[in-house]
Amino acid sequence: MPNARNRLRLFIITLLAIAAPALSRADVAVHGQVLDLNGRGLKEVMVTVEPGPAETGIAAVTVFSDDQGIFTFPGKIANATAANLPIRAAKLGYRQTEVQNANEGAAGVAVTILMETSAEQAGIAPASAWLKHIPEQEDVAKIIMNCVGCHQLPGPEVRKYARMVHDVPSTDPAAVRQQSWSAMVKYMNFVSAEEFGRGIVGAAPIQPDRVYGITDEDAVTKVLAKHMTGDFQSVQGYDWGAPLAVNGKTVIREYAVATPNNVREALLLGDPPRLWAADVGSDNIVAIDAATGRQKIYTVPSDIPVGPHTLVAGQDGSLWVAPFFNGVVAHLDIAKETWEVWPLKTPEGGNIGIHDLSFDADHELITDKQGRVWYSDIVNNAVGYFDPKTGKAEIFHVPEKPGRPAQGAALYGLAMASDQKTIWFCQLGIASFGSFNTETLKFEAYESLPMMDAGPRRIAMSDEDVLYLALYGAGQLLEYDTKTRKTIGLYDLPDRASAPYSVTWDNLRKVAWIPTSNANVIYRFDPRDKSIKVLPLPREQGFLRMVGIDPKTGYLATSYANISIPVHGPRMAVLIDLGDGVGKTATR
Amino acid sequence: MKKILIHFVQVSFIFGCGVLPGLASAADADGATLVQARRCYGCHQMTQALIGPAYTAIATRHAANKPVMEKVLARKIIDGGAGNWGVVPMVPNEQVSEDEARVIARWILNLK
Ligand code: HEC
Repeated sequence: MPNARNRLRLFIITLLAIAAPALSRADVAVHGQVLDLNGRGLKEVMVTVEPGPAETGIAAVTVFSDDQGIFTFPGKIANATAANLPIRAAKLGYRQTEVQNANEGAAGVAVTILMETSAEQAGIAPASAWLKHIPEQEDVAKIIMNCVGCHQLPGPEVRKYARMVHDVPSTDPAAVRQQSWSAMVKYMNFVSAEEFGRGIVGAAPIQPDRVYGITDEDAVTKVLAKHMTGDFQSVQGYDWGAPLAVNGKTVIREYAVATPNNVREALLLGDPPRLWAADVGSDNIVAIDAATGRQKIYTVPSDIPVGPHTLVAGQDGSLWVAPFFNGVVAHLDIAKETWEVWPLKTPEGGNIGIHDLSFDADHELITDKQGRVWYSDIVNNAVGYFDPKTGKAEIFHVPEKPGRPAQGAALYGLAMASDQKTIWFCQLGIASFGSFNTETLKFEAYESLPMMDAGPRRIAMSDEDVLYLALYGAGQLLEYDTKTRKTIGLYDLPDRASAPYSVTWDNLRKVAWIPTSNANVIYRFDPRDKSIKVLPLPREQGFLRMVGIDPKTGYLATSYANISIPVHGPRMAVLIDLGDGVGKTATR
Repeated sequence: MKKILIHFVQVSFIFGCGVLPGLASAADADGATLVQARRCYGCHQMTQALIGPAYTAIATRHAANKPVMEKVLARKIIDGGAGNWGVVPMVPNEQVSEDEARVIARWILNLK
């Protein structure tokens, strides 16, 4: 067993050399200060160095200014000089006006960035900022639940279309919007059915004039036609809505992944640490060295398409993979580089639509006491298990929920309580959640949220068996005590159009992290005082899904998961050092 | 089962391999191949109007004006736009190159 401290030291040293020195003459340390035009230091400015479009490797490094406006990049920036430093700064309410770089010899480059106040926020505020004017949360939820499942709304492509609709000469713009958004909803139905159906063995061909994804086509069209007014050139008045969870030591590293890719989730594993990213568009897992950005592809050995989707760390540092297609679960021993693969079927030979695997408060895979792995089955509205020793699988259909439609429940997230007996699940389509006893094989608790479009997606369990549900449509977080079966609280997130996709329990910090799909931020919820903080990410269209907390370093691992072909947004893996001293890498 | 599959589509995520069937250049492909590869078929079909007009209808409409319309349609294919068939704008198709747009426009116009 290698010495943990040495391993850690090696990790820190390699992190310091953040990029491979192609031309060593131009590796420079970079630090500086951000000032407003009154000469005051500006805090919490996001300062990014991005050398340019990268094929693979570390694409960009971002730090934040401290209370005096001072910022410091870790390690050295490769291929840069004072005259040629690809640096930029962003802060809501400000515009960068000037950058001055001074060469300080061995000390590197000192940068002074001047910013002036600016009401215009286009390009800085997230997609959700353009929905801020909508007072009815039901309407926001309808848009989020039907459109933001696949891309931000309104992301740049959507804003472009909205502007074209706005520019159509007509005496009846409302009618133009109605027809145009109806056409768009139909088209998106087609696109999603086509993209979605690609890997399903035996799927029927797609008919362009059929409704596939968005079942209440008219309702969605109506909401879009009502609210997507204006030319979408300008957005003002957005704020993060809560204090930021960053400081002068926070570092965000964004990793380019070789294209084409459809990177879904990512987590940090191994020694040296690597980001493991699931590429749902192939059968590949991409392993990215956190220090160098170097990549290695691991292909799930399977005769039928897998589409790696869900990643869960094993208790032993291995990697579990749940699929997008065809019920194939896989397990990778990352040290030995050996795979085990289980193509699962029900005892009757039926398909299983595995979504999540049972995990614990550390977000590591946990089995029941008989060693069975439990999962959510989105296709059959069921929970189920498989036994890794025998490959045997079985599913249990959730009974109908009184007062909710029998169809379209979409059993989604799943987590296991510390008793290794009770699993909790949620149903995206009917805004419900409940529990199942894996010993008696009986469903137990069963609750519903009032709003049908509330949209619970990926859930988490704390070390005290508190269940957290991120509500995608409602823009809220639900905190539920599974021991007493009582809701502790339902909290509005600072931006209710943010589309919170998931929640992950952080067992080091004892907080919950909530990545959003529509707001380019991760929220931090502290159960002690119910406070919320905001961790902003430095990229437009940063379509977030999961976040993983590395138990060793305390780093957050996430990804920009724009996997739909017509969307041009980023597809990258992201590693965040919060700089809060938690975990073993308090020094950078 | 269909209903379930449909919902599976709605509720979650989407799959796309991100790769268009490899076409090195416009010279490699004729218009018929290109409209497939560039995924125009979600809105257009050969003889039937869908979200957009049928290719044969477009050819008929612009038959008198082929040389000019080849340039105009090529531009419109890339930029999108409304007003010729109704108020619904065609989306920009920025994945289509200038050369490809010309090949497609010529192919459509030659359907008549
Ligand atoms: C989202 C639906 C959609 C997609 C995708 C789409 N179109 Fe269109 N297209 C339309 C609509 C709507 C019109 C009618 C525009 C108008 O009224 O001016 C149109 C019109 C056209 C026209 C006729 C323009 C004119 O002024 O007569 C051509 C040519 C055309 N499309 C080609 C293409 C090609 C080639 C592609 C693929 C690269 C494509 N379209 C993709 C919706 C679409």
